[in-house]
Amino acid sequence: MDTSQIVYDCINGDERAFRRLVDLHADFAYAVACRMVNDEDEAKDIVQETFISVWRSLGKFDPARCFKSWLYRIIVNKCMDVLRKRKKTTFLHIEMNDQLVAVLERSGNQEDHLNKKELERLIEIATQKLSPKQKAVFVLSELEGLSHDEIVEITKMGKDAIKSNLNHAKRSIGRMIEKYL
Amino acid sequence: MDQERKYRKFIELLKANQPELDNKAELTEGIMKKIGKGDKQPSLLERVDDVLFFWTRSNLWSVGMSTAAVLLIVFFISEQTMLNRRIEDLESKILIIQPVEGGGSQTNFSQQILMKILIKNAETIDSITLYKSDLNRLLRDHMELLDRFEQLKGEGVKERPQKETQRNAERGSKNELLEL
Amino acid sequence: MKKVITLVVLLLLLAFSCGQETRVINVVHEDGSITRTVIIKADAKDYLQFDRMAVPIDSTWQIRMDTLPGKINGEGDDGDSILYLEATKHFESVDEINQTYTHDSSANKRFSRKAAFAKRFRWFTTVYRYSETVGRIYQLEVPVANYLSTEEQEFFNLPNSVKSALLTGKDSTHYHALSDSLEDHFDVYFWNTSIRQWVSIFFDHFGDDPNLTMTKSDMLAKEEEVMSYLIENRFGENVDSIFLVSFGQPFYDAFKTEIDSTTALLEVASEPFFESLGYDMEIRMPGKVIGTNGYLLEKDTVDGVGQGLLWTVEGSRFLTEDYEMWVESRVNNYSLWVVTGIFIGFISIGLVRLKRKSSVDSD
Repeated sequence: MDTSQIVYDCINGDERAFRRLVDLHADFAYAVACRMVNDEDEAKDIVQETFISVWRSLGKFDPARCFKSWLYRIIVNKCMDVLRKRKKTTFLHIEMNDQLVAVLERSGNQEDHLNKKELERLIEIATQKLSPKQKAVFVLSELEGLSHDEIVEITKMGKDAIKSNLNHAKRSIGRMIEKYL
Repeated sequence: MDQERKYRKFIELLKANQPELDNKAELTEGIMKKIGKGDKQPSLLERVDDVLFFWTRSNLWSVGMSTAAVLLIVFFISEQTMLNRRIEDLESKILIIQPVEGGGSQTNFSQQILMKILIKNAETIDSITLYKSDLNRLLRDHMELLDRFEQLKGEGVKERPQKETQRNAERGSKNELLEL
Repeated sequence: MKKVITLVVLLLLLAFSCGQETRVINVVHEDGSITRTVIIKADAKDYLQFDRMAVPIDSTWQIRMDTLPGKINGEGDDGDSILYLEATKHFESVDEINQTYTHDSSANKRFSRKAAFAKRFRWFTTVYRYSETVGRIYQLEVPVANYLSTEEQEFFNLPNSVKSALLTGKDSTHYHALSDSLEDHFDVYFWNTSIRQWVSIFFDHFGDDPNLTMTKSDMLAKEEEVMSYLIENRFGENVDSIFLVSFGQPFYDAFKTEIDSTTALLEVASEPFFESLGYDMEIRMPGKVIGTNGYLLEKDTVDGVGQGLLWTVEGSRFLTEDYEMWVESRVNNYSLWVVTGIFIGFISIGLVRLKRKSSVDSD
């Protein structure tokens, strides 16, 4: 079923259609949230709040627009709110993680799967110095594969700002990997 | 280069290891429960808000409403300015005076008499109608004029006894009126 | 025997004035209805008869009569009393007033009078316009301004009561001199226009006569000559001599009958001027006056009802030009001010919200 048709039904108050919508997009929403906030429980909360906001705001949503972009925007904003509220931690002494290093040094093997903890750790190390905006741009561009125009629409940042933040994120992550991994 | 390669590997690793949502059903139920608790329906305030500000969601409407507001303001200012200017002009021009009681109205009596004499041909006029009150006033004014004339004459002018002057004047005016 | 008017009698006649004062007060209401009050002060009962009044009044009016101490036009002795009449009627519209003018049996029945009312809604204000127009007496249109200086014209246009105030005020010497020169120039205007009117009547009725060799232009060209003759000789000669001297014996002999007829017609045409009864017209409008050709009264004559404006209506003011008395006023529509303010406030709030929403997604 076409997403726009489901959205249209949701706008008309069809709860079943909304359930279907949640089913279709919950995974992707969770993945984005998780990559940004790097915390499973918080990511789930964010996903829940996101879909509740979607339900409340459906009346104002124009079905002709792209629903996914709108959903991205809500998720990213909520993640950035959470990141801003987090206390600034002091610089962690990150211990060398042999396994993670081994994973990175292994060449050409696409089959490596990390468990959740390892994944969280990896992201934490690499992105600890990124600001919420830099993180958002990094996740949307490098991990979600969105174009700069799409990121502009989601974050309402200018193109130059996006480029700048992305470059900064890449350099920062590169340095952290070099240093600790 | 090494850093670049590590970075690329890092990205690939992250892409390959997309976070997976476990207990999606539980999450979905949680969401559905929350929206079913009345969150489904917007509050009265939100509904009122939606109705009142529906126009903010449409470019055409918001531009139209803003233009209407601006035009009303401009119209108000220009109209009040114009009216106040007219009032100021008026107040500078109008002669504001407490009229004297008895300003009344004046007839063109002198022209009337002259015209009647000329038009009717002096030889054919037998009479002109005057009201008694008019006649009394005429005689009284005649006396006043004579008094003023005497006052203005001053020294060196041959003076007649006042009574004789008045009598002559009365006689003269009566005769002339009778002739008319 | 020739009838002669001596200078003394002329002066006496000049000193003469009418034994009544009439003031017509029109209170104009926002719905276009008019409450008209006519106040007449007279020294004789004759002036209180309907056919001797300045405006049409009949038994449908509310009339009150009294005897009060006072003088007419400031003349008379202390202790004199006057007759006072106050008549009031409410007219639903100017059409009713115009109907009374159409079936006019007052002293001024020969006047051609018309009232008009207009109301324009302009959202924040409503503008009202009321006017009364008296049609000119002579057919030809000659502006009196051609004969008067600017200052004389301003003085001429004043209501008579205002003139009296100026003539007895602190600059009375100046205004007396002005009044005298105005009178002289008005006389010239009057006789000039009467001559032209005579010529116009003559050619309207007898212009096709085959024996008439003189053209209208030829006759009008003799206007100055006739004027001079009139001024020099009007006290000593009869009227026939004017035509003899100005147009020649042959003309006079050929058209004596026509000359007499024309002169009689001129008299008829002049009757509204001579037989009119002047009066003061006061108009009170709702709201604030924004334009008029009248004179603003300092002191209210009708309590609590708008600003009053004053004119004098008398034959000399509309001999050759229509006489329009008009006034415009405005009333603020405060309720719409409030509505518009609320609307603008509402739009402002909406725009602020729009600005905020465009940068941050709503929750």
